[in-house]
Amino acid sequence: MMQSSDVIVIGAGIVGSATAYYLAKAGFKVTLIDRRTPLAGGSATQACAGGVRQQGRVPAEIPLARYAIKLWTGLEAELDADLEYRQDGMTVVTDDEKQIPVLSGRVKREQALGLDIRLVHNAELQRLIPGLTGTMLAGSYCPSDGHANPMRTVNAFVAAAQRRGVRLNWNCAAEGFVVENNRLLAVKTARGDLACGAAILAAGYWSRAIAAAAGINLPFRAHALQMMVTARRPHQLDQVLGWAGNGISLKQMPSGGFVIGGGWPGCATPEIYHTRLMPGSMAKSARTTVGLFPSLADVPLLRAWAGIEAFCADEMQAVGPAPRIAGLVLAAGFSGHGFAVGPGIGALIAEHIATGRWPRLLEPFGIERFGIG
Amino acid sequence: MKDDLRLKTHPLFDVSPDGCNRVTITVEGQAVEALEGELLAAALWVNGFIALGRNPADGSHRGMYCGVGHCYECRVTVDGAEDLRSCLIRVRDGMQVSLQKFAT
Repeated sequence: MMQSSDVIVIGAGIVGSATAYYLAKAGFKVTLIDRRTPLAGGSATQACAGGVRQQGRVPAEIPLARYAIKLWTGLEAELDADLEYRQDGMTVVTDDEKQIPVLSGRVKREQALGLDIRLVHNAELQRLIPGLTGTMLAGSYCPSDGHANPMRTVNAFVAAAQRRGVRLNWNCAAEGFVVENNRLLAVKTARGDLACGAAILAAGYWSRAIAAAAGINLPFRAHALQMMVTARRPHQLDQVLGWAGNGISLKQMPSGGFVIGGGWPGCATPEIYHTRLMPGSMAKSARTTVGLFPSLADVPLLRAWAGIEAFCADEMQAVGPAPRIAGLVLAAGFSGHGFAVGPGIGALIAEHIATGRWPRLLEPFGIERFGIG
Repeated sequence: MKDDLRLKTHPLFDVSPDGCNRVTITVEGQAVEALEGELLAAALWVNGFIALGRNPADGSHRGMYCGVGHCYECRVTVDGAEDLRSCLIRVRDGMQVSLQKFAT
């Protein structure tokens, strides 16, 4: 059965759900499809660390991140939902004297790009972050960085999209595209072809197989990233903490649990949407955590889980119009840092569909850079 | 000991409570009777302590689920030590137990 939509969004993670919402807000008739359901096991968004940061990105991405943070500050009101968004800052610390000039150089570059960030030293660091281990010498503090709950955020985007008339179509796996004269006509799914004027491919690593059916080779590699969460403790940590050269992103949720990310690998079998935890990764991640925030030594971990993320060789996302298929837009391969910019990507893609112009903020991310056009 | 959910017979093991020592533990300030050496999670369950905590998102009850140490849902505080899995701890006389009561 052919159903007609202005736009079909493929994949209900942070990028797809945000894109569907902003498209509907712009007045388009939108269908959001997912091979399973939002936040299904194995997917990237359900195992994302929830950092909403601007610092530490490549220069080309900082203007996009700043744009996205402006959306984040109004997002709970926009979606009428509690996203557990906290804009209490993020600091990446170091205990290595040799790293201080590196950190300082990055802070200066990011200041030049307009970011409110500064280098803080010993005593001020301890004052800003009670509980931080005493051996840290310096840190890059960005007060407008923060964190949010990825599960709540995706659920809120999906609910708000539905309120604006977006059709939700779960357990509906995209398999390819119907293209005629280089023009997209429909999305092929396991449940039939869905006619559309345009489609947004935001299916994470699995975008690769769907795009391959249309002759587009997305050079993604799949990595499973592990997350852990501790038992609940009284509120102690406002900021998001990173540690230069050590894989960690540490934050405390409003419910009290400390969420530990940092890109520690699990095992990925994307063909069957399956991940497996690696105990060695968990142990190293836990040691890093206690090294950074010693009071967590006595707090048990409650859960660990993993999700499959698509990485590009240059660790930048592949966002742009698809080559040779008018109407198809790619938005995947976020390489482990798509959550914070997700709402911005959604709003900008909606702007593109409405105006026909490709937004300047998204120019650096087209797949032409892979030379596979 | 009141009629409870403890096994009375088992095809392979002697599960009769006869001859087991009765001990007293304190749960949330209330003295309750248990069998010496039985799992704390079982002692809590048979004494009516089934909800051991609450889901911070919606306030719904949480309690022992797997019974073998995997799910961490049966955590309690024992003699001041927080977040111990009651399904992995054996009852001792005089044990002071409190349930999860983290304010969110």
